[in-house]
Amino acid sequence: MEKFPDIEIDDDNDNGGRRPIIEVETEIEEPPIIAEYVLTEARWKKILKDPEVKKGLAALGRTLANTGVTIADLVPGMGEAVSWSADALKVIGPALKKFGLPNLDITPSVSKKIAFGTEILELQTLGMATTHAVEAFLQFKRQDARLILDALKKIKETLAEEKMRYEENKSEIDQAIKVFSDDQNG
Amino acid sequence: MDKKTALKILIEDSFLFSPILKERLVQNIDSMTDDDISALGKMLAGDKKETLESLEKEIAKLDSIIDKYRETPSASASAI
Repeated sequence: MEKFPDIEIDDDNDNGGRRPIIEVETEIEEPPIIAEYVLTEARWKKILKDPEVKKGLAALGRTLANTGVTIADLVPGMGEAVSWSADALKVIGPALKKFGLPNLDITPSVSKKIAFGTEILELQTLGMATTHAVEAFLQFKRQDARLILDALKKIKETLAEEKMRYEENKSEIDQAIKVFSDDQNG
Repeated sequence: MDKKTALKILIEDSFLFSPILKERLVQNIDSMTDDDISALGKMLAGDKKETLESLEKEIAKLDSIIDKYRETPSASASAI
């Protein structure tokens, strides 16, 4: 976008009473170079749309949430509130799903029996035990570790496919790139 | 190689477009202006170049993450 030029009149010029010197400053902003950013972003967005990758990301999110709850569980008092809330979501989660809301259960592979059973330890140790660690570990081991690994493999597979496609048509792709690179330089 | 042919190759090879969009773009190359062809061509060529430069590194990085991840006891246990 072009701004109106700032005109500065120099009254103290010593040009013998002739017309004042006018200094004109123009500020023309470069058009934003978004192509690179947008395209790279779009590329990753496409990868992240893959259902397997989506599941892996959800699993990663759950793992991070479970780690957070486990750390919070180290604090007697506050920890119990967080850990019990996570357990409560096991009960509320399926009901939320019926209303079209996301199931917020962060340990779907752990049974209610184990989730609530471990809380007994909290009572016995006056909140000193980090019982959510058990659920977090089981959730990671039973489901999330595999989903994250599958997602990583899928991303790698997608990138490898792209590389393979390039290698199969290397000479013509290189030539096509050159046509527009020369155009840019010229 | 002329620009239209180059653009066709870059569209067909692009990772960004769906097969339907690729087909439509290729069909419309003849009706595009020279400026459109240059702009789209430069964008796709720039992206391809950048992608190819980083592809090796990205794959190697993913490989090392996958290997490290496999070594974690719980991940290996779940894989069995």
